[in-house]
Amino acid sequence: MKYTRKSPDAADPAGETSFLSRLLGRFNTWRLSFSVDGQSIAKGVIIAFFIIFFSITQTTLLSRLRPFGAVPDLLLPLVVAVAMSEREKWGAVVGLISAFVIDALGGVTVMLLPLLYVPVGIFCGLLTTYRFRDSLPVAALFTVVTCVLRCFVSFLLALFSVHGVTPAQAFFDFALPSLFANLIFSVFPHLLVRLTMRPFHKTRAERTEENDRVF
Amino acid sequence: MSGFFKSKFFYVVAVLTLAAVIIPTVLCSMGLTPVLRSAVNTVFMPVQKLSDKAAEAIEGFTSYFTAFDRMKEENARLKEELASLREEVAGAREIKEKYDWMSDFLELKMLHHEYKLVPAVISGRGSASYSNVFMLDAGKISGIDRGMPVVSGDGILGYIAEVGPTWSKAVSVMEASSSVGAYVERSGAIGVIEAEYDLSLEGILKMSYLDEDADIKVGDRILTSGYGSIYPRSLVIGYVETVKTDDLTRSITATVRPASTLDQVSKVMVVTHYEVYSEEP
Repeated sequence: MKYTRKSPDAADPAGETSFLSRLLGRFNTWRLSFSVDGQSIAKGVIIAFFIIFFSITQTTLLSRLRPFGAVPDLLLPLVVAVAMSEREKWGAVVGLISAFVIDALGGVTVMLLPLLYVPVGIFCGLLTTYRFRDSLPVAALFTVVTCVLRCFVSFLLALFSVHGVTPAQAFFDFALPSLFANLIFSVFPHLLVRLTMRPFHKTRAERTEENDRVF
Repeated sequence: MSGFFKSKFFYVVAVLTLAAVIIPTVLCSMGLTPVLRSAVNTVFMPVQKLSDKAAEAIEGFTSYFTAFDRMKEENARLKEELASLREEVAGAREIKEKYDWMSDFLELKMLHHEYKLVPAVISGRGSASYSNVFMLDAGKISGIDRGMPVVSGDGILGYIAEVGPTWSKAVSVMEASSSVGAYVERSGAIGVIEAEYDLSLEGILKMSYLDEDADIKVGDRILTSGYGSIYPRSLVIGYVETVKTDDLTRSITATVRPASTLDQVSKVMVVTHYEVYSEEP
């Protein structure tokens, strides 16, 4: 299976040369195989809103309420949901932006989240395309696995950034509560992404055809 | 699937990911704020501030349900008492809040007339469960810089760790890695206030490095000594809760309940200028 690049002219087969199509064509000529069209822009705006909404909610409301004694991570399930819905490229991009935003808003010195979010976005997208289907059990499976990974990252960060904390305290006081909180609150990003991305989705036959054309 | 990992897109994302990890981490550890990071904070600040106000209201609403029985009993008792005063209270609450804030401000200003104080509102808190970080809605434009102390009318809260044009990020005095030079107001005994993880769970600080004959009692007020580069002298840290003498080393340690905590305040002051304490005449 060869990974081929899309032709820069593919977005404009009819040869229309409006300003917008030329601008988008310019993006495609960067040959990143990441097509930019009206639909992608609409999706991007919606997802950007979600990133802003969830990051603000996480750093204000949830950091005050602390359900289960932890601040739940809403952006990781958002990355998983987008990656499952829109596949690996969107997963990677949304993972990168989400990690950067949440690190900027709530992080202190060490910024490790891009190393978690981006691989999660890529692998959830790839596994949904090639191994699993975009279904509820798969979403649950991905969410549990990523929440466990996030729990492990919380454990490591707590262990190394909180002075005098023992591994047991880091696990029971930070990692375990954050696992429960993340699992419960991951429902919201999944729900919102599924509801808002549905109108953009093509039928499976159309998608398979497109995948065969691109790869 | 392997085709994806050989694509140019993957390489670009991988490079950007590493850049997003390495560049901010290195710059922040050097005490600098990356431009993009600063921009994100600057853009998000107004929204975050609004959202925090809403969160405060929601928090109050949910706490009503979590302490429902107690609140119900208290509400019934207070209902009769407050019925005739409800309207006046509604108006007076806002005035009182302003008054408290201004009187705290003036009290601190009268005690330490050399201080230059910049008011700020807490607009958000750290995103991780273990962090004692809080966001303020004032930054460089207001004259705030790194290392400046953050105080309320009751005492110290922390210091500025990161600053942008219209925002700043402060680290609480409860952060386990921080320590503050301190002395007992009544006797002048000198020690160091530190945050220890176990004690910080209960919201308590530890005072150590006290002399074995140090005069310190439960209830004593602990003030900043001015030693170190952050806090000026004579700001209130808290009150002594327990005093313990080590049988073996005869050294004394005390636990101190902070006079001011993040949970109690939404408005703070940043001390942007103060006289540096010196032992020389």
